[in-house]
Amino acid sequence: MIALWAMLAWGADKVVVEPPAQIGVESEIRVEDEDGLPRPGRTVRVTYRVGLSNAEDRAIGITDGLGRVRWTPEMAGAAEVSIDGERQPLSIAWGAPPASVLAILVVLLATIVGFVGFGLSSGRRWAPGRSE
Amino acid sequence: MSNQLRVDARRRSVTIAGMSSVFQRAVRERWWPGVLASTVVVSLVIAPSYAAGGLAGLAIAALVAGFIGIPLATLEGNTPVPERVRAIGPLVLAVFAAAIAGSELARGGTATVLTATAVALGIAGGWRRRTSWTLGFVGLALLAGGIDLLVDLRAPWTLLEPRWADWKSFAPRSVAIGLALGGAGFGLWRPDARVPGVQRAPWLTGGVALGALLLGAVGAGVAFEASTSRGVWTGLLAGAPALWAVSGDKPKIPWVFGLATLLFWWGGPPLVEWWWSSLFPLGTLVSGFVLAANTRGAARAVGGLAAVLGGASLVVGWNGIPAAAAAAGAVVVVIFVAATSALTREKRA
Repeated sequence: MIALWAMLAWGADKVVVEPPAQIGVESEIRVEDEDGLPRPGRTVRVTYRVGLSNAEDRAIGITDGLGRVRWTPEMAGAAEVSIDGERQPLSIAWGAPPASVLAILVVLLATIVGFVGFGLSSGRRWAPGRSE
Repeated sequence: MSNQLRVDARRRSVTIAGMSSVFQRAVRERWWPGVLASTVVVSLVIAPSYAAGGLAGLAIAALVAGFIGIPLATLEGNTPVPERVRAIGPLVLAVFAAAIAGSELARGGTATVLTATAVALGIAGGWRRRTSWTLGFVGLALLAGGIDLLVDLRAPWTLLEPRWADWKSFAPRSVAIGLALGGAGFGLWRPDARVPGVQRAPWLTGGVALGALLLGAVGAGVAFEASTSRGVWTGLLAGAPALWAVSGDKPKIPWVFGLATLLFWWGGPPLVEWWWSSLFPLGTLVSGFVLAANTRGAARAVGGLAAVLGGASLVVGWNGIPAAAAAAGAVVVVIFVAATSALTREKRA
């Protein structure tokens, strides 16, 4: 089996997330230096939905002697992981498309089709006295 | 061939012929490139902030458009009153929308008033469109945007997820959008506009504008997920049709809005806030003043009222020159262009 690795790098440290983050699925976050050596004692936090009105900041833990900490994402979508305050974007896969978004998309698409269809159908012309 | 097959084939050919005549008429007549371009551009200008409520804001806008904005635009278009008087309609809507927004939501109310005022100016000015160049630019913009997004395509769910709890931050602008959707193709209600199903034209432009907004929302969602920028070229290409759509032979009143659209895409987020607090009021002030100075009767009253509204909003909402270099440069260019436009515009009765 081919292991899937998500690697994020900044400064001297790298963050490896295996398997790639997915909501409800446990992953292992490993912090390494540029030579691939583990970085123990690092504080790892995650911010879900950065910049949105429902953004949430959560502590994940402190890396062990092998630079690892286990984590189960609670929310999907765009997020940020921070190691001792240094931030890096991280994408957490959705298990399935959210029903709330799909429902609104369907309603909006139906509305658009309805508006355009009704607009293209021929109705009465302008009121008498006003040229077409 | 059986009789049934013959009947089916005839029905099909009749249907195709009917559709074909609509498209032939659309191609033959000159209304559609400008209407389509200005509709898309207006959609870009009035796009809600999806960071606050996701698709919830767009849903509110669609609701307001379907039950208030478009029906009122239709009524306005069908009312046999002088054309200039009809321009007052959106101002009444604007006051209504501002009342809905409430005093504690002053910024949203200001945005609402000024959006509808821009619609009024467009109608009062009777914008003319140029050529199908506009559509070409729109196509390029969409193509450039698509290429941008395909580089790192991800599902846009995070940004689009509806977040109703923070409704105060997005509902006022959504109401403004809903009111503006019916008049998205500025000038469409002019008697000389030849559009299929003329009486229902507000529904057509409302639908197209809503579609453009939805496409923009999905694009923003994909860009958000991938943490990529929307792309300078996309902004430039999206803004180009704005210039074409509003800079017809005459009048040139609101083309400042078109240029501002271009620049606000270029300037990015710092300029977005500046757009609502300062550029839009400034454009309204200048355009309203020019309209009032060059017309008579109701149009002059509308222009004067718009100028007063724009000036008052400018004083209240001014928040200084933005710190970002690109945004600051864009502001200076817009102010220069606005002044030039006001000073060089041809006088008309």
